[in-house]
This record gives sequence, structure tokens and C-alpha cells, in this order.
Amino acid sequence: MTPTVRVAIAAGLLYFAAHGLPTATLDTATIELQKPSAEMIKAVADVDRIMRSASHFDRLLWSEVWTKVGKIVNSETETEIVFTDTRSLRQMSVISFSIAWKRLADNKKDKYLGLGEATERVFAEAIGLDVKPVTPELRKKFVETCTALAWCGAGRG
Amino acid sequence: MILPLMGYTPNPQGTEAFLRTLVHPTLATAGPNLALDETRDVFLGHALLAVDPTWKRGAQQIGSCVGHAWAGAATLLSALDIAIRNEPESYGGRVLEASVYGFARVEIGNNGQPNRGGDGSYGAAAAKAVTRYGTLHYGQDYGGKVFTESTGRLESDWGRNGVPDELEPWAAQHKVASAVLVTDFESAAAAIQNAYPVPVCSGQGFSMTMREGALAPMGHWSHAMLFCGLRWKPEPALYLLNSWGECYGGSVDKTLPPAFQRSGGWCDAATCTKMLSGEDSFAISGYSGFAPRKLPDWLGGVI
Repeated sequence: MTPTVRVAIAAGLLYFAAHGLPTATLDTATIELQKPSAEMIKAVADVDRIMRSASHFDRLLWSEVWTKVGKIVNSETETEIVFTDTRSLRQMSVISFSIAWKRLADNKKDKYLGLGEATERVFAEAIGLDVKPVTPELRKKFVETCTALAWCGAGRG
Repeated sequence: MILPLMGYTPNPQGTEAFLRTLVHPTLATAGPNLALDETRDVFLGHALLAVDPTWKRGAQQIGSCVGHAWAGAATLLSALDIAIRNEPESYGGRVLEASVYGFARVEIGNNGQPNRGGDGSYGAAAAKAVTRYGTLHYGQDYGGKVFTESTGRLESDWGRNGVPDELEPWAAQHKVASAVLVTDFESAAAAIQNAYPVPVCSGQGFSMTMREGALAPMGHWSHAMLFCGLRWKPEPALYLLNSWGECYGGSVDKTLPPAFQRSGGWCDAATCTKMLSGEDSFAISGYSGFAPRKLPDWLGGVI
């Protein structure tokens, strides 16, 4: 892992350290979510269906993590580039969810059956699995994907 | 302090012999349909930064300019194949200048025999080197050997003794498909507009102080550099990348990416033609890049 990716991930973790994870007591907590495009809503339909069965806590956590992953990647500038290719974007996603979803929230793999596979399909279709440079277009697509994933499960209450 | 290191040693007989081996020796015959749009500016460096955002122009430490110009051209070509031509390849890093220099001086320039040292090579030798022997790269693992920086010592060693035989099979995996002679501004402009870089060998020198990114012709440099951009205003010009690091003073062209603002400058069309008329400059195309790599997944099985 490159030092810059470490810094980006550290920044993400600092966010969670500073703001904390959403707590189970916040049953009425809401976060503002951007509604994805119709195309992206269709792309994440399976994830949305599965997340509608998730607990309030998990839906909040899911939305927060994807929103922040997207926000961090979207904050790249031309002079301060952290995410150079798709490997670094994957690292960001894997480490963010390893820490927030798995370690801190103690969610086991397959807690929601099919969620992992459905999410993988969304990324594979939106961006693919090639190792390739993060162009402005690819960055935009990644952020759109994160935004759409964050939206999944929204509106269930 | 910038040392104006040069090492272009013209060899007209060698160049002529190389050209005789080519089915299409000139751009006019190799790419008769390459159109030149006299309104469209291009800067090929954007493609390089797209695949390698941390790229910076290195500074040669010996008279290995031919190696630096041609390694830069091959690196740029690999980026253009990915970013512009969408070829299913991955970027393998910068081409190791010493590999081009060593092949050009020894395997090509001296029939594979060690020479007595010294510096310098010529354009056709480098063209033959990258098309026949290929290229090595920084950061790749060659049986436990990884090159992380270019040193004058390595370039001197390989420039004298050639590229070690055990590395040649790796170099052969990444060749340039073709090199064709470019002899004037219009041909070079057409090549660049179609995303083919043009390493140039000439005797033309320049002031080290630019005016808004434009180079002022001055003096004599026996030197190899790289044409990799085209603009039509305020006057037709090609962008000429040097290999002396961020070497130019004066005012820069702020429309260029920062990594290119002081490592090269714009050269007017008449001077370009003068440089290219020496008949030792080539447009290169078709890089055998690295196999595309795949991500195993996007979430590592966490969810």
C-alpha cells in the first residue's frame, strides 16, 4: 500500500473516530442522501432490496460509509492525487468496510445474504475489474456508484 | 545547477542503413492518411499523467540524451496506447533510459561488442534498439533485480558494455512496433495529432530562458529531445521536452501541466523543420505493453 493511500485511509478512519459510528439508540437518526440517477437506481436494485431488510443501525452505517468513501475520493485535486488507479480505490473500499462494517459494528460476512455479491456486481458493471488509471470520468463513476450504494435501503424508516 | 549534457553523435551511414531496412521509411509512406487539422491543439503529456500522475521528467547525468529522449517517447507511447487508443494494456512504469541507451550504443551501435566508453548515440540506433531489442522498465522485477532510479553510472556501464544478456528476454516483451522518419514540422505535427510521439536528434540549441513557455533558438546543442505537443497559436509550434529536469527559467506556459512547464517548451515551426531536416528523427507507434491486470473483487469478501 502506498503512503498516500495510507494517508487517505487514515483520513477516513479519523472521520469515524471524530464523529463515531451511528449508534443503535439513534432509532430516529436520519442522514441526507442524494437520490441517484434512474440508471444507477436500476443498477443497485438488488442491493436496495437486500438493504431494506437490514436493521436501522446497519442501514445508517452502510449509508455513512459509502457516502464518506465517495466524498474522500471526490475530494481529489489535480495537485494532490492519492487514488492513482483502481487498486487504490478498491483498497479504500475494502479497508473502510473491514473497519467500520466488520470490526467496529461486528457484522459477520453474509449477515445479509447476497449483499456482498450484489455489491460486487454493481462495481463490476459500473467500473469493471481492470486495473486502470483513475481518470476524471472513472472517479466520477466511482463516486456515483458510492452515492447510489449509500442510498440503498433509504426511506424504510 | 543544470548541466547541459548532450550526447547526440550523428551517424548518417548508420541511419541510412536502418532506413533501408524499413518497408515504409517515412511518415508520408507509412501513414499517408494521417490528416493534419490546423485548428486542433494537442498535448500528449496529458495521457502520460492520466496513467502516471506522479510522473516527473528526470535529469540525465551523462551524455545519454538519446536514451532519455527515446525512453521518454516509449513511455509516452505506452500511455497513449492505453489512454487514447484504449488498448487493453496496463501501464508498466517509465522505460529505463539506460536500457535504450545501452542497446543503442552496444547491441546496435557496436555489433554487440563493448566499446571504449565515452558518451553518445544517434536516433536511428535508438529506433532500432526499441524496435528490435525492446525496453526495460523502472519498478519491474527482473528475476530479483528492480531498477528504482536512473544513474549515470548504470548508463555509463550499459553504454559501454551493453544491456546484460539475462535482461534481454524481458526487454523483448516490450518493443515499439515501428519507427518512421519525420523530416519537417507538418509531418511531426500530423504524427503528434494522431498520438505518436517524435524523438528528435539535432544540432539546434535554445536559450534557457523561456517567454511564456516559448523556446528561443540559440547556439548549438548536439542533443536529443522529444516533440510531444502541438499548438497553432500564437504561432504554429511543437512542444519540445528536454531531459535536464525542470531546467528552463523565464515565464512558462501556464496552460501546461506543472510537470511539463519547465522541463520543455514550445518550438516554432521553422526551427522544428530545421531540427527535423537532419533526418535522424522518428515518429514511433505500436507499443507492446503489459498485460491488463484484474482486481480480484471490489470488497475483499468483507460484506
